[in-house]
Order: sequence, then C-alpha cells, then structure tokens
Amino acid sequence: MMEIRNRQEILLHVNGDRRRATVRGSDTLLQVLRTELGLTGAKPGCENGDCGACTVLVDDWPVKACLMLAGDALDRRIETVEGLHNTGTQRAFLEHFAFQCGYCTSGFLMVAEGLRRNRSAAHDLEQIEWLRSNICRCTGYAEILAAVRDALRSEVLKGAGLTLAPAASVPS
Amino acid sequence: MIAVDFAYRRPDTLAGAYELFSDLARRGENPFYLGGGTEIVTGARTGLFTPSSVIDVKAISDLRALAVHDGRLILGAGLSLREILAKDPWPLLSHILSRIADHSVRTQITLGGNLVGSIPYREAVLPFLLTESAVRLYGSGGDRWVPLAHVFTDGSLRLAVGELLVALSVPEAVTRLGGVACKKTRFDWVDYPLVTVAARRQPGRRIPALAVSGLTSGPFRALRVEDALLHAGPAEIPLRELLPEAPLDDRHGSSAYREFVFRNTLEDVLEQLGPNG
Ligand SMILES: Cc1cc2nc3c(=O)[nH]c(=O)nc-3n(C[C@H](O)[C@H](O)[C@H](O)COP(=O)(O)OP(=O)(O)OC[C@H]3O[C@@H](n4cnc5c(N)ncnc54)[C@H](O)[C@@H]3O)c2cc1C
Ligand code: FES
Ligand code: FES
Repeated sequence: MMEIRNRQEILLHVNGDRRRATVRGSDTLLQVLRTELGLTGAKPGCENGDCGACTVLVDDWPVKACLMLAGDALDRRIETVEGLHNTGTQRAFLEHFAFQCGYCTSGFLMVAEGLRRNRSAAHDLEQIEWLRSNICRCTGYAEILAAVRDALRSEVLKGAGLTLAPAASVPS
Repeated sequence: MIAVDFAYRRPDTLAGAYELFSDLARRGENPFYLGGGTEIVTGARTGLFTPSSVIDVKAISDLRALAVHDGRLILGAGLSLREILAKDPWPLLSHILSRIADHSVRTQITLGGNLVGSIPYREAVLPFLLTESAVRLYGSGGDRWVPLAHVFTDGSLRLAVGELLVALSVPEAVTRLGGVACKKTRFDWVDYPLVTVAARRQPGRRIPALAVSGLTSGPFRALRVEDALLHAGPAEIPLRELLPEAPLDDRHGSSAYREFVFRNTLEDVLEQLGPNG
C-alpha cells in the first residue's frame, strides 16, 4: 500500500525529471511544485478549482494542481509551464500577445498544450469549451483563442508534414 | 494550502480499503475515502472537513469497471467523468457529465465522489434515477448489489459508516433509449445548476421519466410531476404540491425564480423530446 505520513520524501516525475520532495499527505500538488521544487509557473489563484491559474498537465491532461494531492500525483507524469520552454504553444502565445499581466498565462498555456496533444482537430466550439476552465481578468480572450488556434494549426500542419513560417526565437 | 496535516494512503483492494477505514475509525480517527479529491481538498482548505487520513480508492480495480455484463452496463465509482465521456457508453449520461464543472476538473471528479459528495447537486446521479439502477456497496453489509432507489433517498446516497460505493449498473437496453438533458445556470456556463432536468423516453407513455437537480436540497425522480404533466402543461401544474420540498431559496436564485426556471426547463425538455415523450 502506498502511503504518505507526517513529512516524507517522495519521488515525483516532473518535466521529464525524477524530483525528490518532502511532503505531507495533505500537501496539494500546487504547493509541492512551488515550495518544494521551485517551479513557480503554476500560480495560486482561487485554490478552489475555479480560475485555472494553477493548471498543469498530468499524464498529458490539464489538471488543476490546487485540487490534487501530491500523493495522487505519485507514478504520474507531471508537466508544468517550465517544461513548455521554446515550444510551438509558447511561441503562439508570444506572437498573439495573448497576455497582459500574465498571471493567468501559464494556466492557459497548459490548457492549450493539453488541447494540442489530445484534441488537435478540435472544432471552434470545443476550443471555446476548453478555454472555459480558465479565467483571465485582463485580456478579452480573443488573443488567447487566436494563440490556441495557431498552436493547433501548427500541430495539424505537422501531422501533414508541413510547418508554419518560422517564428521569432523565444528569449530564455 | 491545507492547514491540517493528514496521511494519504492508497490501498490496492476493497477489503484493504474497508479494513483500513474501520481500523482508523476504531482508533478514534476521522478517515475519508478519496475519489477525485475535488471536494475533500477544497473542503479541507477551508476547514469544512478535518480528515485524519484520506484513503484513495479510485485505482482499486473494482472501482475501475466499465463493461457490459449480463445485459447491464457497469460503471466503476472510481472512473473520472472524463474517462466515462471518452468511452461514451450511455449518451444521456455523457450529456449530463459534459456540463459538470469544466474539462480539467472533470479529469479529476469521479462518478462515486459526485454521488457521495456533500454538495446538493450530484448531477451525475440524474440518468441513474430514470431507470432500474443498482449500486454495488462494500462494507459492514458485505459486498452486495442493491437497487439505487433503496439507498438514494431524500436526495442523497445513504451509506453506512465506512461503506464504499464500488460501482453502478443499469440495464443496457436503457442506454439506447432517447433522452435529453437541460441545465440552466444563473450566469456562467460553468456553474452549479439553478435547475438541471434529465428526461428519458418511456415506452408506451406520453410523458418522459424526469429527474431534477438544483431545484431542491438534492436530486430526485419527479414521478408526481410526470403524472401531473399527463393532464396539464408545465405552466399550469401545481408545482409546489408535487415537489418533495420547497425549492431552494439562496444567493444563486430565489425559490420563486427557481420554480419559474423549472417550468421553462420542462417546456424545453418536452419540446426537445417531441410528441410521445
Ligand atoms: C469548479 C467546480 C465546478 C463544479 N461544478 C459542478 C456542477 O455543476 N455539478 C455537480 O454535480 N458537481 C460539480 N462539481 C463537483 C462537486 O462539487 C464535487 O467537487 C465532486 O462531485 C466531488 O467528486 P470527487 O470525485 O472529487 O470526490 P471527493 O472529493 O474525492 O469525495 C467527495 C466525498 O465522497 C466520498 N467518496 C468519494 N468516493 C467514494 C466512494 N467510492 N465510496 C464512498 N465514498 C466516496 C469522500 O469520502 C467525500 O466525502 C464542481 C466542482 C468544481 C471544483
Ligand atoms: S488556483 Fe487552482 S483553479 Fe484557481
Ligand atoms: S493576463 Fe492578466 S489575468 Fe490574464
């Protein structure tokens, strides 16, 4: 039986690496990512499942890290926005200026990446349905939707052996 | 951040989970079974729940069933709403599940957690209330199937202390009957319902079977409303007399408003199903 009691060291599979973290059974994945592993891309917002600022991928699917216990994430592949560096999804958000203050952006990036991986042929309504999991208080969502569509389009083109015109490289 | 500390445990079998729960309870602890955790984690953060341990049951193989056996569709209580939607074994259930929370929360919410949870909506139960559903329970009464109607009373699932909801089943033929679902929220698309109505055609009857969430303190099968609709339209039926209790009156909607929305939703549902329910 798998068990986490008191403070205990566990191994998490994050962004392709095995990472050690000392956790309590009651720690959320969000808290462990931010305070134990220094991955502060996933943001605490409502911590109630409503805003999506904390979204990460777990086994390729977007999940709200504020709702998941770290124990629940054992044996699963976790990806945070830090793992999206220099990807097509990141470039699409830059090219469309799909952010203002940026607080919500990592969450939207993870949703876009989840959509790209799982439903790259999603039709317009399905794209909008996916964006409903996250809240942005600054933009009017149009730029975010445009970025998501671009990220999906490049995936569809890739599937057909084609590429979009080269995008500006992303500063590190 | 959750202020209280509790242990996280993941047993491999039904017996292991139940024995662990019983053992911790005997020692005066306050264990909780964990499904998707969406209610427990938010409730523990706000101090609504103070578990001493959570026992993660969703990966136990019996809770992962999704199969047709002896003419019945069986759905494990540990399946996430997303997993059920992906397989789509029952279109009416998919219709209801696709409007619960949002796609990312549906990856976590389990069928069992939605039925057992403390929020009054429990929308996933609605299609099951429309037919002869059964639930598999594991606990002090042994490992047994019982009719859902025997244990889902007054809007919630009555489980004995430590009893596990393992799976639900419905006659497979029912999953092929036509049905519709209609959810009305106050403002946002992703929200708890003001009213959700699920309706299923009933062979040989003009009015469909109806189940309702959001209107009162728990979901219910609206048999008396169905009977009244045989004689009058949704706008005319004496609704208050036909409901199990008065409509909710809270910050999401007043009693009168919910009643108004319910009557309109009934019109929509009957229209969508067309003549002969
Ligand atoms: C943003 C958001 C929006 C939502 N919108 C809706 C909505 O519109 N409609 C709706 O119906 N729901 C909605 N929900 C879901 C609802 O509020 C609950 O969070 C959810 O149903 C709980 O399911 P879970 O699997 O996460 O359960 P958990 O949090 O794991 O558990 C809930 C309860 O069930 C018990 N339990 C879990 N599994 C079992 C089992 N197999 N046997 C016995 N006991 C068990 C636990 O001990 C606990 O007491 C929403 C949730 C969120 C976060
Ligand atoms: S912080 Fe997780 S959904 Fe808002
Ligand atoms: S860019 Fe500020 S909240 Fe979205």
